[in-house]
Amino acid sequence: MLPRLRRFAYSLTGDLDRADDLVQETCVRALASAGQWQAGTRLDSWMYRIAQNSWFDQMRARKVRGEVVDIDAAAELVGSDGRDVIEHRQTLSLVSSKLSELPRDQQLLVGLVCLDGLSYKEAAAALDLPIGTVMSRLARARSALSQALQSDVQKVSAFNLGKLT
Amino acid sequence: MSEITDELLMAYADGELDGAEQRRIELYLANDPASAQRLAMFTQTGRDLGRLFDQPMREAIPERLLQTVLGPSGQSATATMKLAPRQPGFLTALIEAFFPVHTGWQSAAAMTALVVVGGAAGWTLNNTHGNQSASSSLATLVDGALVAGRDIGRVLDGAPSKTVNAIGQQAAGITVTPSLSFQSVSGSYCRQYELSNMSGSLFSGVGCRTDSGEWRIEVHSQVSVAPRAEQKGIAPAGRRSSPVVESAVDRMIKGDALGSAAERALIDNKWRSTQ
Repeated sequence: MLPRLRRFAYSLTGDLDRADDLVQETCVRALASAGQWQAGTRLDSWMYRIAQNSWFDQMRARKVRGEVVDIDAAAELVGSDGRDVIEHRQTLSLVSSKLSELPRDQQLLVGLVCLDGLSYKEAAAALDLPIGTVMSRLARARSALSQALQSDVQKVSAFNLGKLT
Repeated sequence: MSEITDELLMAYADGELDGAEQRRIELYLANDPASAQRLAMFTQTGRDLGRLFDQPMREAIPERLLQTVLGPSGQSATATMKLAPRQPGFLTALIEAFFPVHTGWQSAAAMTALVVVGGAAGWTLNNTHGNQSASSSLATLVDGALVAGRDIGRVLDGAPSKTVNAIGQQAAGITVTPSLSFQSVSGSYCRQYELSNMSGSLFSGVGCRTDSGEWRIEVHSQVSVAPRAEQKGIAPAGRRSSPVVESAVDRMIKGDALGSAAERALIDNKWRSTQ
């Protein structure tokens, strides 16, 4: 599950280095608060929650320090790679910044279903929620995500939605 | 036609609906061209969205992450253990989650993040884990430290480096090969070893002898045969080792590794200093 945890962190941070910092922080926190984990419950969603909390703490700290997380600047990150790679990065940073803004419950569901490929039923069991709640939260999350993407399509000319589908 | 909710459309996009409901949605989509846009909202943000972030699934966990989890000092693997309160249930779950028995494609580096915890990977593969009280355990968790079980302890006590020792029941096919002996900066004697099991997985680790004569497993991780590293010529041919274990040895070792004569003398003297 370590690669999956890393992927979830990546979806929040939009940056692999930061994702690794987050995974590290998550592991340390998880070990320190092992007592709070309930045997028999899923470990992955528990650790995802720790990752979310760590990430929110980091973002809050960054805001306090006055650092500005500029999505447009992030989208302009350009390497010597080809155009596809640049587009991929733009899409990625857009999606992850939108994902970061979602309520944590919704974020977690996007992680479990869209990233990890859990079925609704599995996600419901993992979070101990009724399946209807899972579906309504997930639908809300994805419609927000999609609206954000649509409005950004107009802003970022090179953005290619086709990459997503 | 009854209202088709977002939830239903999403479930359709995700392939979660049964045949009858699926057909109902298809009919709805066919009769209402504008609905395609609504559907797109969910097809765009489905599992394909997840693929955007798949890079970590295709590559090894970077050494930097392993190092930071390990911490800067040679003893930090133990420190990591101490962070975890005495809750073996949690460790067991962590082990199972991070190091499932059938690890398939996963790179060995990915298995080593929490080194001591990772240590249990070897034990897990042997199906002895979770059975910590049994005499057949390869290692047991004692006060938050992993201590070599009787079989491995015996090998580390008495087998010279480079000798291959079968342990446990023959059918288990487990061998332990001490590969290096050294004195640690804290003064204890330590031995690096390799452990292989029937399914061909190879692990490497370091045990250090305690005053009470046990071998405490400081580091244990699966050895990678990382294709990418080999392409770059980083992994020397014929020598398979774990970067995590190697760097732990580097941090722990005082001076040079022991020569075979010194090692022999220590074995004969039950690892009490011969000077």
